[in-house]
Amino acid sequence: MATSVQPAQAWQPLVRRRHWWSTLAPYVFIAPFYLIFLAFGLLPILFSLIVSLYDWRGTAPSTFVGLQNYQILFQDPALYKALWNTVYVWIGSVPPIILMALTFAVLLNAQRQRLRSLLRTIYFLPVVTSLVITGLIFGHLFSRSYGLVNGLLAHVGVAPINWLAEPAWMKLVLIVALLWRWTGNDMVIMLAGLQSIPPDIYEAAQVDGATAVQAFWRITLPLMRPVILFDAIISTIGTFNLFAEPFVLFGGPGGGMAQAGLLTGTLLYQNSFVYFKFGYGAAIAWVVAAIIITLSMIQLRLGNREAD
Amino acid sequence: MKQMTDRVDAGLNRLSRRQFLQAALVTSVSAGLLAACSTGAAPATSGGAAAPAAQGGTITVWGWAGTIEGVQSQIAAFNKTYPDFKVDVKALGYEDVHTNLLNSIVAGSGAPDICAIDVLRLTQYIDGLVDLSDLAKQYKDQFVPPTFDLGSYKGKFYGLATDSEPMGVFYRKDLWDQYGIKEEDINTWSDLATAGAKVNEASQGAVALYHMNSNTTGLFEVLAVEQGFSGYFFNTDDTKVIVDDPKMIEAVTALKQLWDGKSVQRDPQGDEVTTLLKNGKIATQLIGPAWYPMTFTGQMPELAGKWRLMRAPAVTKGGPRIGYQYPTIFVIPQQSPAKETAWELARLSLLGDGARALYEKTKVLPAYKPLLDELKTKPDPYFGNQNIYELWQAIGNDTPPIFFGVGFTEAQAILGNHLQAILRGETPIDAGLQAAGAEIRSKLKKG
Amino acid sequence: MTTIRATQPLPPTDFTLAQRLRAQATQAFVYLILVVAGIIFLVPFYWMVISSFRTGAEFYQLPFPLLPQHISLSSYQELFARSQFGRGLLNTAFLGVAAVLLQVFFCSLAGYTFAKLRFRGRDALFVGILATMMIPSGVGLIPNFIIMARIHWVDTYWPLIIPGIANAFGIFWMRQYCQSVPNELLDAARIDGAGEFGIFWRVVRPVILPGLASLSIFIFLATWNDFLGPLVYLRSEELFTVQLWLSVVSRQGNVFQPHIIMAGSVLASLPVVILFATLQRFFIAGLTTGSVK
Repeated sequence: MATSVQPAQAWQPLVRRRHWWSTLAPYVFIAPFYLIFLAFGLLPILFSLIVSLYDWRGTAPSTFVGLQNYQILFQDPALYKALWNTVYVWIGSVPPIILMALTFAVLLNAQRQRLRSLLRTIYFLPVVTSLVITGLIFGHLFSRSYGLVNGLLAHVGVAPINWLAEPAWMKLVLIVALLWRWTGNDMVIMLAGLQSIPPDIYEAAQVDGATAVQAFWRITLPLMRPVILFDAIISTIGTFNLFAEPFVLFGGPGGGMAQAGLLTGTLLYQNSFVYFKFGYGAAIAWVVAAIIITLSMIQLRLGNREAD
Repeated sequence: MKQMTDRVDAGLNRLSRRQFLQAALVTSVSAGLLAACSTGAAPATSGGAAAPAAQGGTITVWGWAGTIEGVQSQIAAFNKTYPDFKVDVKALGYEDVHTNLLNSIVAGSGAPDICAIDVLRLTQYIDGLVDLSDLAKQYKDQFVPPTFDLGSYKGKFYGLATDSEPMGVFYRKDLWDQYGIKEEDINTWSDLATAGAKVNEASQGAVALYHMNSNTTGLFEVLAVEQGFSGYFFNTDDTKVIVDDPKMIEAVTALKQLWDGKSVQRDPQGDEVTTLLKNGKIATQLIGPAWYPMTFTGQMPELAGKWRLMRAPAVTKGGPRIGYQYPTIFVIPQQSPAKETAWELARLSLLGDGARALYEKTKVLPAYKPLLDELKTKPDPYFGNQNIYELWQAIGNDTPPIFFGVGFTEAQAILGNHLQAILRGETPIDAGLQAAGAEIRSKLKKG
Repeated sequence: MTTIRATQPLPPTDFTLAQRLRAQATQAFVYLILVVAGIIFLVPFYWMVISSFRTGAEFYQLPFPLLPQHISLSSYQELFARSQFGRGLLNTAFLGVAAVLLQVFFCSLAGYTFAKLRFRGRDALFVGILATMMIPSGVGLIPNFIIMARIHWVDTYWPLIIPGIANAFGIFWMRQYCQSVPNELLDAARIDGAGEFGIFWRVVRPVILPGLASLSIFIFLATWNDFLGPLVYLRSEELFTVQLWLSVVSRQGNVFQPHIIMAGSVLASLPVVILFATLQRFFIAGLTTGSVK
């Protein structure tokens, strides 16, 4: 499953037909992706690579500046702030989301049970909640003066915390918002992954006298590893492109107080679509892409090593 | 079972680095080729070739709710003179208008004939807009100061204003009375900071006299205009950054005193301010642009009669007491095939009956002078029958010819970061402002 | 985490009464945790629903009520007065269905091909697809707009439907799913004389239903929540999607209109919730067992 490039178990057909169509069919089946990608994906990507070599602001004429955008970028404290914040949020949100999603999926993986069906839908609700609402909701829950969270903390004698204006707390609120919003989404990934584990394995394990907990550790977890890895990579890409949640929580792409909520995704947006610095924005995008590719490869390597 | 585990093991990630690098290399080589071929055609195709003036067609107008009501009211009148033109008014979201206008200008097609934009972003679009100087100059007297001037940049005129946004201070008269604060005693920002002590003591901290955000530049902008900088962060010819000028160090010293006051709600977030104002926990709204009363009437109608408007305090006693925010202007993209006709529609919509209809529908402070002259004699019941329109006009009249320079939004964000460190006591005032100035200069390539 | 498959409890005969009680207690505890977590997940949504029944002036009233004191529909009335929200819902549903049909078809076909067919260059081609996922999408906005303007697709639904067919996530997802299809099944089909496409359509497709159902949800959701795409490409109000209308009504001049947003968001979330509630049975244990065998 998952992220392999050379699955050893590729299908070796018993009946071989050296027919031209059998040779051609695979290419025809995957052609739509490449054709559409060539038309609408590759061109913009190459374009942005070129743009990153230009000083291009708003509607003014652009000038070729070579690697200057990258030079400025590597000296820009905002880049390092955004990188640090993004890594912080990545570590703080991706593992817990995956853990919760897997737990929920395993516990709720049962047909025809009203309560479980209802719970699955409830966990999925945040995913369908619009972003403006997410911002409003968390603004209210974590409001210093009348928020529910400070209200509860007051009962145990904690002084009101300005969650959305203190750098350390801001990241925590963002992480909580991400947990709330994305766990249900990843639960669906896990649920779908669980369906590919044949039930007879569990039956065999039961016959061998394995308990449910043992079955989880010995069967579910190892067999779900590719799905977990898949989810981790998708989430990593998502975190480095994260834009909407910090935007609504911290009142725009600037990252709020002390830029504590400035992420690579919002930095990119801010430069491209608030300042209209397209060349600089494209340079940011390519630096972020390089980081995502590196991190994904590390994850693949680690996933691979653990499996061996 | 064995087969399953085998598959999983095998299935795990044999994506080798070499394969990955190969793919990346192919991509970058082809990119390089393309770059070599296309450097002649620079990415920015500003403006786009304008088609010859059309004899008929559609005039498309983009704006957001609160800006386009005047146009909608004038379609019939416009069609009497221009029966061959159809008018298509589109109400988009605020951000949406700005993003789409940019895309259309850059792409060379798809722009509307008239577009509402926030004037603070004018310079970002300027190379794609029509210079309206000759068409507009005869209407200068019809617009209250400084609304006509702010539609121009470096001698060219780009758009008439839909509204005017002078700034004052809103305060709860009942609460000020209760805590013994009188409007006439508040002359400087420092007076306000001092008055906080009374409120803090009498309310035992339950009520704040005012609120402030450390990382926003709204108050700094008010103080900059008061200190004589009509370009807010920039000098009058938009070549130099002035945020660390001695006058601004003086102003920020006053801000710091305000921040350190005894009765301040510091760094409220999101809609906390609206809630606290509505529930009587904050007695004063320091950043009070002319559109703000819409929040009062919409969100807190029950407080009618309790609010008042006063001029912003001065930095030094006897100094200017002014402030001005960012109105909306109607611009005409160069792409428009019917620029003159578009101008006629814009003019109809922002003068005379168009301006009246916009005001009736939205209640925003008009930029159209004859209308404001009529309104200023009318007391406003929400403000305890105060003549707020008269005061707005007076503040506007005292405002110098302000403008919004290149990189305004970026300067706002950079300054906000440094201001926050200054107010929270992490950086001394002069060092902090100098650091802000240096960062703005380098990122905006200004002096 | 002690109940892997609660529908199939371990045979009770193997347990003493004490063990059985303990198992039941554990199960009750697990349910308690799940329900408490469910309530936490539900609170914000509940808050949105009751807020939508308050007027604009009540929105900032403290204290916030735990139950709506009276139901005011004024936010909904304002929403419909200021937008064609019903039309927007239909438009977005149409877009969502079109995107799901096209993308699910092409992604599952490509996913199956990468998972089960052998052909020259397969691995390199798949790495290429993976790599496309890693480039931040925001940079393509302006060049994409230029392309769409050139081919006169602005103010049509094509830019919102066609580029989505190159869905790397979907191919990745379906490839992963198709790998769990037993090879014996494919061999059998081939012996029966099924063609290349026939094997996919008649044999593989029914087996990967859970993958198709979950992918459908992801695609529908992405289309439903997409804001930037419709914003950039749609100009005519008749074509507007729900997210565009939400953005249009969110401000009146400079003043934010939270109550209208609340009403709009409640209406905007309902179709997706219903879709999820309906489709979820397709990717929950029990359904596929029969068809795989």
